[in-house]
Amino acid sequence: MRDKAAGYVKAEKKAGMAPFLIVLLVVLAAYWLYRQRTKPRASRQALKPPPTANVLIAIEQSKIESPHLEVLQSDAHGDAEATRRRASDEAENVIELQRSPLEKEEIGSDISNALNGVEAPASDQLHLVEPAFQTDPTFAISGESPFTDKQVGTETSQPDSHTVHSAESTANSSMTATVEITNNSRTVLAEAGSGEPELTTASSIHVFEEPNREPMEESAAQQFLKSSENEAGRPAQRYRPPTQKSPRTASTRTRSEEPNGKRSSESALDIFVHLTFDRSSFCTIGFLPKLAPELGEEVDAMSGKEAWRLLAQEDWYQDIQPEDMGDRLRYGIELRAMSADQRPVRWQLKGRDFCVLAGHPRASGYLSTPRLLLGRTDVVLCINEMASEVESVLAAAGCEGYTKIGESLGVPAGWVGFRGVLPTKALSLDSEVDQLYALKPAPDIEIDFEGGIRLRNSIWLAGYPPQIKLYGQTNSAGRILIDGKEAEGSAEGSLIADGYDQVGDHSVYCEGQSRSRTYSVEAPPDSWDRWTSYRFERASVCGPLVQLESKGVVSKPITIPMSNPVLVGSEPGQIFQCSARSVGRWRGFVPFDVVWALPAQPFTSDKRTARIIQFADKPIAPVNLETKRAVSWCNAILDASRKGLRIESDYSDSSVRWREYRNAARKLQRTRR
Amino acid sequence: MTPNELLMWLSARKKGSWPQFRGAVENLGLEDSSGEAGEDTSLPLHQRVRFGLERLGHVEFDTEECENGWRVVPPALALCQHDAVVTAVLCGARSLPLLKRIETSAGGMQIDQIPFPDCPDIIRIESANAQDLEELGRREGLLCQPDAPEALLSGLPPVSHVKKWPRQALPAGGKDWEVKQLIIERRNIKWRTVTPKEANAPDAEGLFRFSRFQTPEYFLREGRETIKLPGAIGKYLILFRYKRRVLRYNRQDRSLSVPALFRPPLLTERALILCSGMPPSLSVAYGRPRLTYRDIPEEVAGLTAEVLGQDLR
Repeated sequence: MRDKAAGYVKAEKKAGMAPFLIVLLVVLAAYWLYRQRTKPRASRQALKPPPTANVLIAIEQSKIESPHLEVLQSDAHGDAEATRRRASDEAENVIELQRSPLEKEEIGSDISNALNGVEAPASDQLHLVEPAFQTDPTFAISGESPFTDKQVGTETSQPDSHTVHSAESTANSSMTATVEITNNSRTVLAEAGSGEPELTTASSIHVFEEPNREPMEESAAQQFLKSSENEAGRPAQRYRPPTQKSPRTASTRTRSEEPNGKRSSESALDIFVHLTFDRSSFCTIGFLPKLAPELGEEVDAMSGKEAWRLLAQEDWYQDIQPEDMGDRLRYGIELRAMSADQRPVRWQLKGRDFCVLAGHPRASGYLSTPRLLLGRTDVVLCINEMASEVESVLAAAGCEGYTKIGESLGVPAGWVGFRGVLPTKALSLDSEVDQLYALKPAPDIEIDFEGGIRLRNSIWLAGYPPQIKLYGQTNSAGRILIDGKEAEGSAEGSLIADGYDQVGDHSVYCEGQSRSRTYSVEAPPDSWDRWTSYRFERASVCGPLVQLESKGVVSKPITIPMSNPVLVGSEPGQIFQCSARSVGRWRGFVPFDVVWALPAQPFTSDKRTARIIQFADKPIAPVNLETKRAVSWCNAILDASRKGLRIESDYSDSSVRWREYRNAARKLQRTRR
Repeated sequence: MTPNELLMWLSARKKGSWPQFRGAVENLGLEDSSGEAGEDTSLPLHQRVRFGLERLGHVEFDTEECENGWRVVPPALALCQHDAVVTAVLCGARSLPLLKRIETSAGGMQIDQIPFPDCPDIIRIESANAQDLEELGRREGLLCQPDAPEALLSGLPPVSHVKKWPRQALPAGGKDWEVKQLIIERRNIKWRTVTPKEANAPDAEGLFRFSRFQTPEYFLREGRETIKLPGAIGKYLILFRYKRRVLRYNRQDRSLSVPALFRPPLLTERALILCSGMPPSLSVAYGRPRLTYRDIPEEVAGLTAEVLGQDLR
């Protein structure tokens, strides 16, 4: 009966749950329909652009630190030119995505409206300003964002096309927004660096969320390191030679520093190319990221999906040597890391087709440098395709006798090297931006300090002064003065003058071009403090210096034959058993002055060979101890005495002294009884 | 910069950080070869130079008064009594004026300046008695350590004293760790690769090496205890437990040799080097590299064996 009743109760419960099950099914069905709607979008996203794409895909890093926004404007021929506009001018086109992810539909419609509002030729640029770098999941204007690499451009068949820029910084955002835009045009989303277009579509404008797995859970640091801009591990820009302008007159603050002298979080630290030759002329090339002191001595940095542990040196981190060095040189490398206080740090070397390397006072081998210098022997690396062009420029610069090195000598694949490049003629630059700037030495004079032992900055150690070198068109240099005295050339090719290597401050002055540099020579210290590096129970150590800690240890070690390992002193209780060693003689420190060395087992020893050895002629000390050690002391002496062993000694009255010790031992033993 | 100039630079700076040292080594015109005999992992150049300076007693690294950095040792003469002569090896800070003063002041004593790869020149002075050398030291402001090898070895605890080493759990795992265990099988002693899980097993015992980024860490597992200790001490402790002898002393040419795998711990090796001033030479016998220390008095060999828990062969 009880079972039956229980069955009824269960049936009633099932009937009560039916509405809930129905509701659940409806919800699931609705969800399935929703998924069906979104799938085509996701699949469309994977499509590649049609081969007819004929308009520039804009790939450019936006200048966020500037109040101006740089935009690309497509002209009728599909070429792009950079124009500058104030952010306020773009207000109507800028869409601030400062909403939570839940409001995506509204955002979508906003963008739709905005783009529809563009409608017109009047506004042919659209800035989709996406989430800034911040921990807050809401979006902010990218003007505060430290990094922007991702840009969006539209591809269109119409001459008056709409260019869409996304100055995007998704590093720390919780949502990555992708925009589809069409106005009878094909749309291309291009990712900076990779240059791989991702999306073509038609018909309408949508904003939708990428299928982010755990967007809200990832930390700011993780997002920064894994951000799409860093996926390829390459900077967004390639190296551009400097524009030839009149000298700067205004602010001298570099772009990498904030007014307070701190490095701006948006700027990237330099990566140098480092080349060393071994004795067989085989070269090794690595990258030297500049030291970021706030990161500590070991930094885990990301370059794309590759992780590097950077180990600090004084000015930069230890070399890193990627396997695809040739590609990294050509297309650039970018490293990202986070400081302990969650400040993003970025290093970059922009991609280039050739590279000039020169000796550096604080590094072995050669480091990348902006330009060849007259009279300095440098190394030039260039891609294979440019080898002949580079050689012709080098010939024009008067470079002779350099050697060409290839892959067999360690040069990265696709590259060729020129070693021993010594330009002798200055070359003028072709245009405002000369692509071969780095290979064309300027006529300027440069005073350089090389070699010696540099203690810090411009201070050298006495006895190891710097070699003073002059580079550039030295015939126009006029007189060179060191501390006011005319300099002479030394056998090594450096400049010297009386007292140039003496302790004190020195200056080098080039009269012809009003160039000067100073250096100092400092005397070495003449005393060093004693200190302790290791502390043990028995001693403290510093280098070869040992301070024995035990009380009573005599400073002089004693050497005794292993046949007599029992050592006794003049005081009852002074007894020491030498450790067993498989050598003929024992040497070590004993905590008292040894008077006698006795065999370990006198009763079983051979009387013909065994003996008592006297080390010192020291009278017995009148101490009456009743310790265990005193008993051992007595026993050792009495046992040796009972056996009647010979005494080996350099002292004349050794027998008398031995009897004195034997009597004292007997007396002590009797007292104990 | 040469190693001699590096020592001058270190002496002028007196002490500094590890990055400063690494940066200075970058300036050395030395080759970054793959490694050094007797080391478990291939060593980068700056580590080779560091160990060279450390073993010779010129500079101490990451010790009590120079944590995470280096500090130069005050200039000192390390004396060692040989049969007929006493040798003094110049250790610690150097400067050009100091070297000139020593040369002038040495008088009739024989001074040798011996170049050695990756190390500053070895400067050795010989005299018939220790008093002359001690007097030279006093005149020129050099500290003197009589019987330096014996004094060093006498101050060291035997390898079997594991009390002072910290108890620390093994790293739990991770993709970057390379884990090896020191295996002694009959006549063979070698490192065998194991997984972090095997090393962490409750019944695992022995010496384990966890390496990451070319930096090895050594752990000894005995019973319930896991002790973190220097690798060389761990190896000799294992040899002591297994009663294996690896030290070989040749009384005729007064040389002490060990398999390169069993390079002695730093201060023990420093004591051996101070006997002659020369770092060990590497030789290969039956395909096995050995390190040989020269001019080792028998008493020092015996004392070394005692510290290392070994018997001389």
